[in-house]
Amino acid sequence: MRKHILNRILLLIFIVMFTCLAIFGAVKKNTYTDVMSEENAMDKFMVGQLPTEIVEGLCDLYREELPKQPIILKVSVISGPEFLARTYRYKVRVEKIFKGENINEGDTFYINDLGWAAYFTQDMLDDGLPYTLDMGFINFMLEDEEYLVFLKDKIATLDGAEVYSFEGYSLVPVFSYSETNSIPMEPEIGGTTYVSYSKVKENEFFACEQEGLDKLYELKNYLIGIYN
Amino acid sequence: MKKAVKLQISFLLRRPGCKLVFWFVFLLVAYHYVSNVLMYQGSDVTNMYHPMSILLMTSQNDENSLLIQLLPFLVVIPAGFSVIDDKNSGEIIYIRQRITSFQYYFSKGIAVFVVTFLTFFIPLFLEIILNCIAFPLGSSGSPSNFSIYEPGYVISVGHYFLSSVFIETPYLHAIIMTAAFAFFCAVFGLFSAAVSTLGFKLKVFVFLPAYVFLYMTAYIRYFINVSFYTSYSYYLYFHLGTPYLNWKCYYMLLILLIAVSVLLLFRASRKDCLS
Repeated sequence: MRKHILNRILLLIFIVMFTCLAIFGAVKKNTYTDVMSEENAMDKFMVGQLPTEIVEGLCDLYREELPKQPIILKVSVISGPEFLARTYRYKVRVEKIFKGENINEGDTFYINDLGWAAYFTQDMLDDGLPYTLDMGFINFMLEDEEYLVFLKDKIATLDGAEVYSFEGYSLVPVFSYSETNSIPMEPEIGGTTYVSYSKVKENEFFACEQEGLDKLYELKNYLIGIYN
Repeated sequence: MKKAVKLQISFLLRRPGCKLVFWFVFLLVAYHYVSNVLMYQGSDVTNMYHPMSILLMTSQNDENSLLIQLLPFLVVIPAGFSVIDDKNSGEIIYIRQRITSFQYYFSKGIAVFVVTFLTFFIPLFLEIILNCIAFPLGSSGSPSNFSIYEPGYVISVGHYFLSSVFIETPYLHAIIMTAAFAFFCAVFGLFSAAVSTLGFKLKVFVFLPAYVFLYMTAYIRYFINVSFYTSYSYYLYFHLGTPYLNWKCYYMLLILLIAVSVLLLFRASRKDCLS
């Protein structure tokens, strides 16, 4: 009889404990944030800019190397950026193929650069550190806009999505077919090239000085002139 | 036979050993879960890890290190002593009056397997439910902190046991891996009970077969030249992205242990008949 009562008590303790754990978890679930779904979410972020001395070397390299990339396409953005764990991607449609095998006009797939990421944690905010965007020194691609992209290959994915990626250059080789305007900005944090994203959100490229931006636009015009 | 199995199961479930291990595993699960809830509260869903990537047995942590170290003992406690207990208490005489020796030993074997399986499966399964309640289901991050397109991460996931199931439905993968963990424990529970039919006088000796066997798995690599990990602990983590695991060998060994256990139970039932 005593054993029977003890068993009942143990079962009751177990049920109460499990219920308390579930309630505790459900309550704490409300503390999770969804920064990316907030309006003007990007205004909370800082973004790095290219120093002029690096731009010069990059532009020379790109003139030589980009035409050798295996896949060169004119694409239009269907949707994006779509933020995933530690990266983001765009869905694009192929409008014109300049180079590339097994790709047809009208094909749709995702493009991603392994360096693309939005870094933000509660600890960063608590420690007074800004949220940062790693964008490969180019701004977000805009929906329905057309871009010239230099891709390396299709990558293996876990979710079965068809994803093409870039070579891994510091400046991601994506160039808008539209006329754009970019402005240079003084770095806000000493020893870095970071500026608030909100101040340069209309830019196509991110560079510290006008000289650097001029070189990037020269490169863009040169490439768009070839692949049009 | 069915009735005998049911009776044996209900009898074993009432034993303190079964409750003790169940509570031990459940408290480990609860501690791990509360630590996770407190650690990740206030995170952003974009950065948050997938709820099935932070389970107790997903990857190495302090709690499962304790569980894995004690496992050679824990697998025996729920039901491994039952044959010896029946003999020592004389209960075997009353049971044998109602069922044949064959029915007794085989219903005992099935009951030991089922009870040990449930003792480990239920608390770990409850953690899956708790994680679904407490963590954002839309999160897709991994504790490795790699982006989902990082080649190293893609290759690592490809090495998970049943990786295609993980990619399709991580929740189903977690349930299967929980069942696989409980299966491992159940096999060693059964093996211990079966070896105890050889006639151990002292209960403490029932710990030996599982302990020696599992302990040896850690060192066998030093004696036999094999290209994969042999220690049992590596095969119990749900997300171990290494190519040095031989799952075929692991499951063949477990099946071999079941076969040996069945033979030992058969031998015991024949011996009883003859005596």
